[in-house]
Amino acid sequence: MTIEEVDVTIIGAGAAGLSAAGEAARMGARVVLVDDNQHPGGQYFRQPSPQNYKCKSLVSEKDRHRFVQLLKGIDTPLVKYCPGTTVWDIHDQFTIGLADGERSRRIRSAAIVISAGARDHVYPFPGWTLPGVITAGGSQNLIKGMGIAPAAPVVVAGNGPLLLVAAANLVSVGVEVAAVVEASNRPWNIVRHAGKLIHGGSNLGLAIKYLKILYKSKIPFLRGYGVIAAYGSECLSAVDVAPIIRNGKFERSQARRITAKTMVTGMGLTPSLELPRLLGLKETSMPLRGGPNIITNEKMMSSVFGVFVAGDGSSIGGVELSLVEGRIAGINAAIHAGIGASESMQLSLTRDLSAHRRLCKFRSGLERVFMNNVDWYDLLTPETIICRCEDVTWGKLHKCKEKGLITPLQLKAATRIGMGRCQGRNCLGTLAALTSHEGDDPTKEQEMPRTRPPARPILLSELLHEQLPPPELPDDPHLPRQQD
Amino acid sequence: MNANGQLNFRFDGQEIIGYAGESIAAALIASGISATRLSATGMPRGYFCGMGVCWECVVRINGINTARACRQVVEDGMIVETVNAAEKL
Repeated sequence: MTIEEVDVTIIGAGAAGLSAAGEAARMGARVVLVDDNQHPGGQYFRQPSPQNYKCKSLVSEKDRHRFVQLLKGIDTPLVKYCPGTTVWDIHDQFTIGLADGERSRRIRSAAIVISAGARDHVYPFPGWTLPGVITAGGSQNLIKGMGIAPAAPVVVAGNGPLLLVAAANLVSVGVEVAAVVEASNRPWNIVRHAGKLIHGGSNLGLAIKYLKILYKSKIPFLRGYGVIAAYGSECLSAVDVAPIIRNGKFERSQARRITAKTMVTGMGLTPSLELPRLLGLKETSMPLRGGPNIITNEKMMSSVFGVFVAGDGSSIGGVELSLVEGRIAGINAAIHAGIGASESMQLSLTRDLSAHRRLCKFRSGLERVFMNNVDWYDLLTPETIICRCEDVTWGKLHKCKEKGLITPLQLKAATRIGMGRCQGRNCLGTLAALTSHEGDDPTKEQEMPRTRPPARPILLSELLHEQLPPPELPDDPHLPRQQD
Repeated sequence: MNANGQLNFRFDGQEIIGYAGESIAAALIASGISATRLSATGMPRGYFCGMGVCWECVVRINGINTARACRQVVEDGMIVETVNAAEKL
């Protein structure tokens, strides 16, 4: 038996992945499109699934149409779409390991596009593990995907544009929202950066639509505030909000309590970097863009030859930028696989590149509107959970520090932080920040726990049913080498 | 399952109404249930990220498998139970 070989493998069937697959196929490339989800669309184009779906009004006609076009793009024999399939390994940059619930298999391709999307970035605070505290993305999926409203009253609190979208959608479906709490407080930046924001195109119309909904609803909108703690026994019952003062700390003396059964929260998005990290793609820190971002060139190619990264999985930019980046990556991945680009493809690439420049300007304007200097770690108490899987508290980490265990690796070994089922997705960002936050050895970059396969939990039975002997192990500089 | 796609399943012995295509987490939230897991130190947890990343909504299905309630679709007659992370397997 041989390993399946194709021209381009695309990981993730969200906005970026679908448009990458469509463009690569339009070039004539043989494409495998792998998606962990059961249905295409990722988070933004998530399609309603229940039979009794009630929230149809939330999806605009334009998006419905765009999604149909994206699906048409992959509806060709050139694209093999694999839903419900987890990429658990990228063995070398051209061979990936897939598991579909039944068995694991491998695919080799000339180019890879990683469009794995992003997730909500949530800083820990007292009570954030209570049932009823959910992310903005989780709220969106619940109402947009399932047609189900979270328990009311809802407090929407955090930072960033997605939060306002989530709040407006909750209002649109008739959920009682008690307050919208936004950490940033620089409304003048809308004017100051109007020159950048003007490049937003259709984003502008949407922003106005959402703001109108919130304005009309007369919901208290607290700017320059944050939730400092969530309370409840079995589930959420109330939150405390407090103003944020100049130095980014919270003014606890002015805290007030708001009753809430659900808190929708998020402090922006952060790219899903597990697969890029398996390949060791070069990163850069972009504090306004979810932290670590993947460095790409104008072809969307990463630091590893033949590996392209597009959409929010590389750097947070939203759906419009993801669609454009996906197209750019798809075309360039096909070219990388040795397929010539026709004149019309070259032309559409040029158009996409100029759209990309425009949207990047808009993004940088938007980032400045929501900019803040909040010290979210000011909220931590000894009891605050940092690692949700292993219940590692801030106090426990602090005790370790007193014993001289200060690096992320030492703390992991001592407390199991980052070793649970989420594989550090909830806590490693915090761990990285907290270990540098404390000023431990600022001259040296902290060595973080390495990402290892499986990139997501898979079943042993999937590995047992893999029909191939695994390829030979590459030289791993981190493993002890046998002497000749 | 009836023509509207309505079906029944059990969560910790309680009869819950769901609809075909709904995730377990969505059906439970619609019934007012938000806690579906006990953490390593016995704290209640539930639906958090809603996109399969955080594993907080893990439940036990039909006595054997554990699955993320936000991604697993409800089935008629399904037995769903709270997972207690402190319990030894």
